[in-house]
Amino acid sequence: MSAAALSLAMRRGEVSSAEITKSVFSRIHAVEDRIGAYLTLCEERAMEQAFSIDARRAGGEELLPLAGIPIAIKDNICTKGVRTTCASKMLAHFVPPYDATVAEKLFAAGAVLIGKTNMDEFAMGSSCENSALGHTGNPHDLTRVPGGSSGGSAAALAAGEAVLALGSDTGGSVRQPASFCGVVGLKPTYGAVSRYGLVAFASSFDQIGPLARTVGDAAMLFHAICGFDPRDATSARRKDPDGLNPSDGDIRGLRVGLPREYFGAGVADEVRAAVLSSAEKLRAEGAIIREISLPSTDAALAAYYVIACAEASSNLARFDGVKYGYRAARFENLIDLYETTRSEGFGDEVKRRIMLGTMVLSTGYADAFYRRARRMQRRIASEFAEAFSACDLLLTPTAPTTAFHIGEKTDDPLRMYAADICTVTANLAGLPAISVPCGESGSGMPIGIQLIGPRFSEQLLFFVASYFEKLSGGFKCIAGGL
Amino acid sequence: MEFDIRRIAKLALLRLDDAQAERFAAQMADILEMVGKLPEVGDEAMDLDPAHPMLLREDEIFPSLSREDILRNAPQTEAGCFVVPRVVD
Repeated sequence: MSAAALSLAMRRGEVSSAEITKSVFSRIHAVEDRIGAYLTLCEERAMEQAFSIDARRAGGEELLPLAGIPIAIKDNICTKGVRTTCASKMLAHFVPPYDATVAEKLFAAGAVLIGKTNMDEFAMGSSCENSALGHTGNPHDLTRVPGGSSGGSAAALAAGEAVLALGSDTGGSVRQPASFCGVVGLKPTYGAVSRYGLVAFASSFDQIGPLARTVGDAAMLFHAICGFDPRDATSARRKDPDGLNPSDGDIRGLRVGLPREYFGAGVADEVRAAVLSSAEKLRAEGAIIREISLPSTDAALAAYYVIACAEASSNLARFDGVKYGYRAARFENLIDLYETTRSEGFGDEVKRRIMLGTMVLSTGYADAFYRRARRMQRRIASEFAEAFSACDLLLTPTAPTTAFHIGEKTDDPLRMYAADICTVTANLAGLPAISVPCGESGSGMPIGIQLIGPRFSEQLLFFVASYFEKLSGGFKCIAGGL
Repeated sequence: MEFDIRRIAKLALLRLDDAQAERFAAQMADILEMVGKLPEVGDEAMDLDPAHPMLLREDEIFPSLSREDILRNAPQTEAGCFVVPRVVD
């Protein structure tokens, strides 16, 4: 059942949070050893939270829609008193002394924490294979990856091990796993959701985003976590967006742009066909579909990796074995402490990105790489702005392929990076983007369609995604055969 | 593009053995070839969101976390301080 339906059922006294939470944990006990979505489970605490919500409701208290709903949180979001590892040896035993703002908001609303989900280490990856602490399979085919870096959150939803989930998206890490696992995932506008308490990867791209099995649920979760936060200096001072109102929008006359650069040779034929066929469905309902061009798309992956890794090299400098986290057992002096701790604590992909970032910022290279990437970023952002003068939103595949096999791309970092080609542009330009399921490949793997809107247009994205959901007869998100 | 993997590792406070240095150098070369193709575009002055510049908070003291909370995750503590290797002789 959807979170919205469960919330209503609880309000009507048809079911209790304790029953829902117990049922989620039963499911976890049944399938988790095969899925591996979670790094930490909080069964006892969850049941306590659930009982407490039920008691408050029984006492006549009016509760918020999320009250009593079991939610999974990606393990790079700080939860007070609950281990938060970023799937790294570096933080394997780290217990945050504070809640991230999004966690604070969710717990204040009465959400129940199921546990912390697996991810690529420090959010660096597109398959969840870079986790140092766990292994997650795609519930639709356990020999395939769930996507990354929010693979655990997406897999938990597709396996029925959570009702709602939070992930984070820096270059596609909410949308691509949503696409691979056949669920809904939103990357909000940069600044819409507070990053306070999110362990930073690339500070100018990172956003926490909701994952769910219906568009309505994703919207519900987004509204619970968005909003200005004085503790995040990049948090947008905007009036909180209104709720989704399907009767307000109209598909007829909606101008939808299809940027040709997202449908080229790098995209699998099956994916292209499914996404174009979905666009046709919208055209049949009265939307105006037109092909457009975003000429700098080809340069986006390079610009993204230069900037993201530069910021990551700075952000991950804090992991030095001094104040928290892993510390090497043997070292001779301070520099030795730093080098040994970091070399033992970080996995290969993290080291690669730190080194790339260090290099592109270093003397002699900064002009050729970093400043050039920044100028390209602004060019990409202005091409989007121009596109939005002629279109209300853009429609593309979320990922160039469906979920690949475990181990298929781990030997070749560049091939792995190419999984991000459709998603990094929204991070570069700070735009909101949502992925929803739009079909299946011949081998039964989900295909995702991405809608990108102007800044702070989440309402529009939810409206169109929800319309598409109804046209599709609802998304069948839970993987069969588990 | 020329680069010295050992120098970069040193700057990043990472230590690589010979096998790692060779492997990472090869992978970095591939990645650098990809990012090296970034074309030069003109100087675009546009900020991402000029209508909403980042604002700084007032320099005011307010309650934060307790020393006890912070030290709980520390690798080694003594007398309420973090223990670190000697830095200066």
